[in-house]
Amino acid sequence: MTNLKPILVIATMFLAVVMLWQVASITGFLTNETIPANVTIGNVAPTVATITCGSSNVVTPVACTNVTVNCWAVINDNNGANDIASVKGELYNGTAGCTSEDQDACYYSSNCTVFAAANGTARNYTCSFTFRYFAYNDLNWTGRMNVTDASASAASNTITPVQVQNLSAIDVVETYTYFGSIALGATSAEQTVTTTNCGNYVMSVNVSGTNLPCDSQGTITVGQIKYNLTAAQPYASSTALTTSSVDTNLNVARGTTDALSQGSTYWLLQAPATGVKGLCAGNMTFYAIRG
Amino acid sequence: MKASNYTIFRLLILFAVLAISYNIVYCVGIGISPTNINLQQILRGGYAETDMTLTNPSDEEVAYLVEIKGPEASWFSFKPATSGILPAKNSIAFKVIAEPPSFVPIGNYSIYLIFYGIPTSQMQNTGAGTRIIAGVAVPVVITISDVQIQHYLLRDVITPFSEECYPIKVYLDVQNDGNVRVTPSFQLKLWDSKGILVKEVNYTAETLLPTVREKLPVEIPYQIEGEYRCVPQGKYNVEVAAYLGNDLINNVTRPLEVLERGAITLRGELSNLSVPANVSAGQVVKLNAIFKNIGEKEVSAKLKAELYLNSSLVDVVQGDEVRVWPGTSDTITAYFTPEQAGTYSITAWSVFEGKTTNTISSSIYVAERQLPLLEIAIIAVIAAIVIGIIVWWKRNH
Repeated sequence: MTNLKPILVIATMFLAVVMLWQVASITGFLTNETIPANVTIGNVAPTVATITCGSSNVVTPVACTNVTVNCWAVINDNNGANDIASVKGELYNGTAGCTSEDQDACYYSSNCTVFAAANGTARNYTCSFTFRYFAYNDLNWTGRMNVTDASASAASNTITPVQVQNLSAIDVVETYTYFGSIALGATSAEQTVTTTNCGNYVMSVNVSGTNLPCDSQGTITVGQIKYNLTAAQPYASSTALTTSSVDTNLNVARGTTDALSQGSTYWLLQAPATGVKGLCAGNMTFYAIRG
Repeated sequence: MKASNYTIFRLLILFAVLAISYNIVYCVGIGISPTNINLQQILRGGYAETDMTLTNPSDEEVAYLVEIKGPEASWFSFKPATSGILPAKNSIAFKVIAEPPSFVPIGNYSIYLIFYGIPTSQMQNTGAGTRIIAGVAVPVVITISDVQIQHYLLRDVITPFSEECYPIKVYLDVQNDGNVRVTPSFQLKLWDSKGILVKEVNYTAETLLPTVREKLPVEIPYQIEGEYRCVPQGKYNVEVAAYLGNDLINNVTRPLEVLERGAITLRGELSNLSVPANVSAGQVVKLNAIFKNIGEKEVSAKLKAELYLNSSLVDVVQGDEVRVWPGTSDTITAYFTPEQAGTYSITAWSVFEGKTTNTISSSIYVAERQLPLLEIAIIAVIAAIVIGIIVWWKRNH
C-alpha cells in the first residue's frame, strides 16, 4: 500500500485542479468579459396609410345574407413591425364613430389581422366586419383603423365616403298558396302570405294575378281571389286581385336587427256558383318597389 | 311482429313524415342592387351600361326573369341573359346595357325593370291554388342628349406590395363618365421617400366605352435606367397623371412599398406541430409540422425547433430540407432526444430559402428513463463478475 500513496496524492491534486477550473469557468473568471454598451432608442408612433373598404370603397349588400366586408391598410412602425401591438377597425355611418357594434350603423372589429407579408417596419392589416343586408344605405359611411404600439402610442386614419349600395329584395315565405278543395259558390279558408324585407329600404308591396284555369271544366277569374291586410276579414270587404299590379299599401319596414322584418297579407278565394271543376291553378305576383 | 304493433309502427312513421313536412317552409325571393338606375346625357345612338347584383335570398332555387315595362324596352339588353336559373342563396353579377337608337328625340325617358324570381318546384294536385312569384322593380331614368361629353376619371390607383427585382404592378381604376368612347393615357412616376424620381412610365389604355369602369393593370419595370440594379427595397409614392390627348384629367398619388427579394414570391406558413404521446427520456422524438408554400416559387423548407425544460433552453434541433411546390403543403420533420424527464415546451418554425415562417408551439411530457432489459442484464453480469473476482481475491490472499 505504501507504493500507492504518491499516486493517490497526485490523483487528488489533479482532481482538485480540474474542479477549480470548472468553478472558474462557471463563475466567468476564465472567460472574456464583455462590457455592455447601452443605447436607448426612442419610441416612434405608428402610422396608418390609405384605407380601402369593400371594393374600391363600395359595399354591395346581399339580400337576407350577411357579407364579410374588409377594410385594409398598410401600417408602419419605424421601430419595427413587431412593435405594432394592436389594430382595431370601425365601419360606421354618420360622424360619431363607434366602439360597440349595433348591426345597423356601427361595425367594430377588435382584432384585425395581418394578411400579407411585409418588410421590417410595415405590415398590411385587414379588419373584417360581418355586414348585415339591412344596414343603413348611403354615402355617409366611414372606415377607420386604429393602431397602438407596444409603448401605447396610438394613431389612426379614416376613409370617407364609403358607399353602401342600396338593395331592393323580398322573400315570400310561401311558394304556392293552396286554397284547397272548395265547393261551388263556397269561400276558402283564409291563407296567409308573409313577405320578408331582405333589402335596406322600406319595401312597398304590389300584387297582381292571373285567372285560374281548371283542368276539368271552366276557369276561376282572378277577381275571385281577394286580399286584406288584416286577418279574419269577410270576403265581401276584401280587395279583389287584378291582372295589373296594384299597391297593397303594405309597407315592410327596413330591418334594424337580425330579427326578420315581415308583413302579411290574408287571402280568400270564392269559387263560382257554376261552371268550374277540377284542379284550378294560376299565378300571384308579389313585387316590391322601394318605398 | 303482431298486426297491432305493425299498425302502431306505421302510425309513428306517418306522424314523423307529417311532422317533418309541417316544418318545411318553402320560400321564393329575389333581390337587386342598386335599386335605381340613372343614365345621364346618353347620346342618340350611344351606349351606356351599369352593373347590378341579382340575388336569390331564399332556400330554394328560382328561375329569374327580367321584364322591361315601358315603350323603350327595345333599347335595353342584359348580360348574362334576361332569364336563367339562380341557385338558392346565390348572387350573380348582372349588367344592364342601354343603346338608344340614333333617331330618338332628346329628353328624359322613364321605364321600370322588374326582376322576377319564379319557383321551379311543382305545384301539388290539390284543389285550387296559385303559384307565387316574387319581384322587385327598379326605376330607370335615361336622359338623351345631343351634347358630346368626352371625359373619364382616374378614380383610384391600387398599389399592392411589390418585391425587389420583380415587376411593380399597379392597377388603375378608371371610368368613362362621358358619353363617347375615350382612349385614356397615363404618366406614372415612381418617387422615392426623399422625393427623387426613380422611374417614369407612359401607358395608353384600350378604348373605353361610355360609362364603363375597369381596373387596368400596368407594370412598372423594376430595373433603373442606366444602372444595372433593381429598384431597391423601400417606400415610394406612385403618382399617376391621367390624360385625354394632351389634357390633364386628374392626378392620383398612392404609397407603394417594395419589399425585400422573395417577400411575395417566397412565402410559407407553418401549422399543425405534432409530437408523440408517450415518450421516455433517452428516446428519439419525432416532431412533425405542415409547411404550406403560399408563395409563387418552389422552395426547400426544413423544420427548426427550440426545446425548453423548466423555461431553460435545452436543445435546438433541425430536420432535413423538403422541396415544396407553390400552392402545396408537405410534412417537415425534425428529431430530438430528451435526456431528462419533464414537460418540454417546443417552439418550432420553418426555414426556407433564407426566410423563416411563423412560429408554432406545443409541449410534450417525457417520462423517466426506462432501462432496457439487455442493459440490465449486462450490468448484472458485470456485477456478478466483479463480485466473483473480489471473493476469489479474498480467498487466495
